[in-house]
Amino acid sequence: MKKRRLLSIAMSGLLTILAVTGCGSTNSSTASALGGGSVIKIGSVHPLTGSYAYEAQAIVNAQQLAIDEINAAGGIASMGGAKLELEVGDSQAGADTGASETERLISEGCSIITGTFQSGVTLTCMQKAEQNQVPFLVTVSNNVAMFENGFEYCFRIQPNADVFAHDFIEYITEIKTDDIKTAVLIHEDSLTGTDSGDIIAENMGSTGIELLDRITYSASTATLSTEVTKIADLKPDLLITIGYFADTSLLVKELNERGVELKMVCGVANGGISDTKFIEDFGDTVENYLDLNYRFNPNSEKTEELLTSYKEKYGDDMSVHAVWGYESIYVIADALERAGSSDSEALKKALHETNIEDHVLAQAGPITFDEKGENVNAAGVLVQIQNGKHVVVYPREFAEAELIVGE
Amino acid sequence: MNAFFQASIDGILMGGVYALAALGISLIFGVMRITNFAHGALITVGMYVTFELCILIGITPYIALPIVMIIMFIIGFLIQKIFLNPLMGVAGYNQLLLTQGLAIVIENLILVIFSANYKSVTIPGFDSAISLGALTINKPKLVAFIFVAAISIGIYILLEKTDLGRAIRATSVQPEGATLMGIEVPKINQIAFGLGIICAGVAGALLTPTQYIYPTSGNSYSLKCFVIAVFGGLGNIWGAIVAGLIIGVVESFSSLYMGGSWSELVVYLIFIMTLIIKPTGLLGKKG
Repeated sequence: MKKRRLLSIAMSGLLTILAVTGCGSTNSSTASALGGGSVIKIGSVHPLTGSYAYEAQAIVNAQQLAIDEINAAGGIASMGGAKLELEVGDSQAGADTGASETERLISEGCSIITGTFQSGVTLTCMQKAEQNQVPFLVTVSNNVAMFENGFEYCFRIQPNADVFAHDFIEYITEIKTDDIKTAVLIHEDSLTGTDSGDIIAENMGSTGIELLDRITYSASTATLSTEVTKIADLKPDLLITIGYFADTSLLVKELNERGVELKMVCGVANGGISDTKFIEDFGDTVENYLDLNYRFNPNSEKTEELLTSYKEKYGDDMSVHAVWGYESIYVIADALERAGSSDSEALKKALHETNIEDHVLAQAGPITFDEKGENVNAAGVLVQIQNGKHVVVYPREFAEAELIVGE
Repeated sequence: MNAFFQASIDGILMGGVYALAALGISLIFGVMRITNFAHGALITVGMYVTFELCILIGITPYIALPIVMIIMFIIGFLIQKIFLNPLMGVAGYNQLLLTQGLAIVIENLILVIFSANYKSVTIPGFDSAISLGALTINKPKLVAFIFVAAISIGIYILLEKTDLGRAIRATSVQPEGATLMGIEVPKINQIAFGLGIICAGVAGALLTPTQYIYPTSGNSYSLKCFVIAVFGGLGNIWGAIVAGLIIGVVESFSSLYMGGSWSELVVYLIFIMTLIIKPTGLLGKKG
């Protein structure tokens, strides 16, 4: 009996330590930086544990970076220099947990919630925010339908799956060479992959490239060898891939091992191809891979400063996703500044009137929301891996380098 | 036709790794009637141990394997000694909850220690596949398969031909009787759990060349291996191996002919069918 009691004490001790280290990390850093002035809490719900923990942490890091910058510059001037504070919630990659975390953050006094990296989770969080009449700003999630529900308090800066897919169709038609005649589309089968996949499959006809097959898989799969067998048999000129980091890497690994030759590989909002770790892992073999994705504007000084300060602070290259976490905080700060209040009605109204020219995104025109809450000027760009670096190659106004097609 | 053979090869190779991991679950259940829900988390531990050894000493996962086995055995041995032995003989759901709790603790400890970043191991010369005409064989998976076969045979010999094995089997059939015969049941339980965890750790180690390592990378195997162990007949070692290979091939074929999204569905359908038609599993004795 004694032993068992000891055991239960040890277990609960361990759990407490975990719980404390788990949620304490974000509060402590901000609390000490604050003087006496008022504090505006911003909620952030992301899958900090689970398969997407890496991407999620990067987004939260970037949000914290933006908050630190704003606070260091004096906070929100119109509110007497009020400081921002990030309250972090972990969705654990689940829709229910995401919603309850949203609820918790709202009850703890967050003026606005941001999140969540996964469309399925974002939707339930948006519903919670909408019910509570608290504004919600999407960091990363590209599902189209969730902004068709007539929500009044929800906003999104990033391009949705619809924009991605149509931009892909448009750009690929413009850049393709005559030897690209056939394509295979492979994508993971959650909302994220399926949304863009549907639109691309429907519109491939207009590009003049024949779509030979559409292959779907579950993102948590341990192997894609059968899928790669199919691709090897079909011998397409172009492979279109929509997926996250781990599954896309698995795909490329197996393509390389089999020596499958493709004239062009192009991702659509691909979590692998646009990640710098992807280049580290695959080196020369992924040279000239393309990805249609959202991105920071490579030709702006502001971006350069941001990338440097992120690397300095976190010792890691800033991922493309993280940029949206960063920009989300500036959009919120801008709205707070104009509203002069963290009241949700005032904040919602101010967000609707957003017009930010000075941003780090690769989009033509300012960040401004339509009546649905979607960024009117959101757009994707074509990024290519050249000499082991990501460079924007299309459209020309954001291009850093010439597009390389074929050998 | 080519695709058929390719899918068979891929399925069997993948199935081998499933089989080894499932063997661990089956062994542990067979001896102690514990369903180890921490198995997936311990596969992840095996991956990280291998990764650290590869980085620190600069060796390949295959050379690291004996060290991984020793470390995993110790971990398993201690888990049984500290957490599970005190719970032997109480209602089964206590152990179930404990292993599930352990899984969460392990996962979060890994997250705290190693962060969520993806890690990977590369082996020089293993970046291309062996080609047999139009068919290709993935080298790391082939090597993994050979190791799986060797380790399964090793465990079989250990259980069937040694005194220790006889003691383990005696414990699995009749713990009280074994105690009366002078077998130290708690110690045997610790050894058996250690052996089961070796299976998880080795499966993890063998997956490192083909899989990214992150705090939850073993999770997708956890439930699947449980399904395999039940399908093969819980407690039956050969059942786990046969079922692992079958599930590997079924997965591969359902990806090929029905699409990747179907493969998981088919696996769990098999699970449900097993429970309805033959709850004791493929090779399990009649209840």
